[in-house]
Amino acid sequence: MLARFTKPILALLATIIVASLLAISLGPLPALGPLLSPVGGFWSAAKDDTFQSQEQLNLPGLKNKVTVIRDVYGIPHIFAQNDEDAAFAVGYLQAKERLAQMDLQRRNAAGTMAALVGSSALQDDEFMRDVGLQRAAQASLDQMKPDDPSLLAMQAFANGVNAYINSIEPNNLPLEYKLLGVKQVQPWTVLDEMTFAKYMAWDLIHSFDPMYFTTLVEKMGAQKVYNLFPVNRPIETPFIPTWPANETPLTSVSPSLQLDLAIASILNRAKQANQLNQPNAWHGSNNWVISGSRSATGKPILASDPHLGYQLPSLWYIVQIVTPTQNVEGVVLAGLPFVIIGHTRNIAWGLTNTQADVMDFFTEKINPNNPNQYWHNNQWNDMQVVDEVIYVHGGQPVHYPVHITDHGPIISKQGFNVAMEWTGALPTLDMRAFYNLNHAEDYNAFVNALKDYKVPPQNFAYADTKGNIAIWSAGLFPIRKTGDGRMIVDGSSGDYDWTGFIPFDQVPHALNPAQGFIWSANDRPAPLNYPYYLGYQWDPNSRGTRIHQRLMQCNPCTVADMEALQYDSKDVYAEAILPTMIAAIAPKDDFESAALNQMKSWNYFTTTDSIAATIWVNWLINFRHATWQDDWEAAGFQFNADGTIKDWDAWGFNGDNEYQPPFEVFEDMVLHQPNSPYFDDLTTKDKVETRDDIIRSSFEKTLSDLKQQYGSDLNAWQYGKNHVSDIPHLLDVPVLNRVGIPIPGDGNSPNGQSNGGPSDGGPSWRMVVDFSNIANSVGAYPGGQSGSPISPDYDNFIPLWAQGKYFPLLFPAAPDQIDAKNIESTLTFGPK
Amino acid sequence: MKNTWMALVLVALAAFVLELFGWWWAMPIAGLIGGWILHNGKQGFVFGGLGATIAWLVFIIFFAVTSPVGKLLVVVSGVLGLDASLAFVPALLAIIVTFLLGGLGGLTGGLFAQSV
Repeated sequence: MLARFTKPILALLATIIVASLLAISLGPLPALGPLLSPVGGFWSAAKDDTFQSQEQLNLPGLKNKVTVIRDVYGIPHIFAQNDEDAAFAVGYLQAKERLAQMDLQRRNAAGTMAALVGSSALQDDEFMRDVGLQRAAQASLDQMKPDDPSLLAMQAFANGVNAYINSIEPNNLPLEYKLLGVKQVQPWTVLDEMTFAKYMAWDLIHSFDPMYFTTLVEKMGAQKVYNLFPVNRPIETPFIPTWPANETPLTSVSPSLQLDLAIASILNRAKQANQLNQPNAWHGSNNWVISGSRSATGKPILASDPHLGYQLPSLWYIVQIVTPTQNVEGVVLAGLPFVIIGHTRNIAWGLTNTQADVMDFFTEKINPNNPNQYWHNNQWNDMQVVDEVIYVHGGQPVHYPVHITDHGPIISKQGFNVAMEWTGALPTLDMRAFYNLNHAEDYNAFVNALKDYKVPPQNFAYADTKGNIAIWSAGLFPIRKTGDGRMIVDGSSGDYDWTGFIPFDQVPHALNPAQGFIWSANDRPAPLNYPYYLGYQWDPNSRGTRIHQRLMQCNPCTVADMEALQYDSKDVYAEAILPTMIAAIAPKDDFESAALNQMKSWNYFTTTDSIAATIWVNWLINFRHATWQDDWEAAGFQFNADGTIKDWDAWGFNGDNEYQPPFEVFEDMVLHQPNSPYFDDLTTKDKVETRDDIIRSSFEKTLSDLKQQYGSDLNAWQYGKNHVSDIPHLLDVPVLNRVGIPIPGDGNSPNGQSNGGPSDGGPSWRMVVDFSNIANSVGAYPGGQSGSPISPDYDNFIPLWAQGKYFPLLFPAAPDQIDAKNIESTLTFGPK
Repeated sequence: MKNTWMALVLVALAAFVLELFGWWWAMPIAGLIGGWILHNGKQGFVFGGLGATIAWLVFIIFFAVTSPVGKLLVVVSGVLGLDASLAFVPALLAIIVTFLLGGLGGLTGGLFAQSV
């Protein structure tokens, strides 16, 4: 009897085994069964993003009709009868084009990734729960009144997103979900929006520099570190030139093995969670405004190009919103309803990161008899203990306790307990600031909107139709009792506590300066005598210097001049120190002579066809490393082959805050201290090297390295061969990435990129607003409006952007003002 | 012969209906019907597999006609680590998978029918 059924039972078992194998993921590959299935698998993802030329949708939650005209660049122009309906439409459209991106970004911010991808993301989630972006977002939300118009708009945006989520079958979710094997999207909430806004603040401002400086002081001594990393660099070009003097020395602590453990633990956790910035990966952002007195039209021009890490789909999404109370156009962040950089009918604004020091680290003394108590202000205080529940796909929920002191959450319990305090953890109403900016039509409304803006501090450049130009470094800047936040400090004494914030009317700002233009390029905002400590993490002066140069030259300036300046690749740092470097070289052979001639005839533009630019960026890297590396090794650091410090390959802020002292300190040494002891190579015992010796040896190394990389024909050393932009997809799937795009510029030019090699960050959005006719404004970003990789709108802006070209930002006041030839589709929303 | 055609049509229909719900794992059930009708393991495998494949092809052709599936195939083949010139592989894999699932169901159905 049993033997009779042996074969069919074996066949049945084989069937079950095959079906089971097809249902599970094999390594990085998604499960093939659900992926290949026609209905639930990838096939249906080919149609999730298409817009019909005419479409009518009736959706619950709308009050009135909304007309959305998508222009030929995929930019939606939304015409609504009230702000909430407009925000609803923005939410629906973003979800239609960017749902997976929005979902991944909110999960990354809130620390809920494990619920999507399983236990592999648990440690990342734990770190982000410690950071507490969602707690800060909730605290911010709790401060808003229910009838706050910005809150109502955010809720309407969430309703729009959810209207889209509810309209799609699980089988029709975007491709990313199919690859992740996800069948359900959690509803969108206002808390998601606030949390993502906090994430952007975190992303732009978090810095683990105090870990580095604390270690440096341990190894080198405070005085030496202070001299090499001064708060006030030897060369400064603050973009607000005059102000009523302040110098704050690095506070010395007594590092110890236990603090080393804490530092290593924090860096490891942050690295695991992909929350460490790569030093010197890329530089940016710029903005500037010129007044009518300097423009060809007699009206102001505003230019803004925020530099961020590249990604596909882009962080940005362009939109125009027209209601009876607003007409605003610009870029919103995918997942947020308000224009972040843009213009209304009468004003425009652009942002650069102030790069202020708004994050401090404190060692906390824990009560040996009660691990939930810490010593502060002469007494034991109870920590707040938050039970964070982390849901894990395919596993049990994890209860993760977060311990919070007056200084913030404890982010390391190894060695020392270290708490992290930053302004972003406070309740802030930044979204309300943007809501009000979107409605602002004059300078007073602009300034009033900024009063709500807290994190991350940004330099808001401004211009308006009345001819005003201005800049405000808006945000919360902490005032410390003592110290400057550049070191990990003792939290128990209370000596380093924050005592308040710089009053709004005393933050760096300027209105209609006599020179007729204002710029910012992440450089120092205020002059050396500004009475408050703002920070030290300024980018090199070079970009600001070049912008200043060009704005002085182009009088009168045109929109074309502004476009050219955003794409400008001149390296004024090279202009400053290269002649000294060249003068130190006596060529030994014809090849060196030819290379040197390239340098001598170079105009300092790092264009893609430049051979000198290739030699320069590599020579500078080698020169700096040859100057500093031996001193760091003598202090006990070990180096990797790529020139990064072992265990310190990434930690901190973008800009020049790699392990080496700032460019300006180096420039001062090169130009004025040729016998500085730092030029001496400590690995040679019988000789004391000078600047010129190091210039010579680094030149030889550079030519040798480049010969290995490109061969012995100098003509093959074009800059664009290796200096390329790489734009990765959020999931970093090679076929979805766009890599190897030759781009001019380096870390010291306005079109800021990396110093030489592939760059994964740079100008994330370029916009020029012309106040002679605001409808003539233009923009471009490295991506496209759609998140669907099969849509032509996925990457259609990249070729334009890579060449420094733009598309028009059409600015109609009504639907019938858009020329038919510029219309791709019309979507009408109605209430249901 | 009549049974063969009937089995093929029934498998295809059942596979089509089950796939409408996205139940790719249920393809063996469709195949099983064919095998049971044919009372033969080998024939059950062939016609179970063919029937399920026909059903999936109907869907795939529909998507190919109504949306840019070609581009999508390039992306999916890339995700699977394949070059764009091998963009046909995901489609081929889908056909192999459905044939295997339907076929194994048909084999099981045929062998069970022979045994009872």
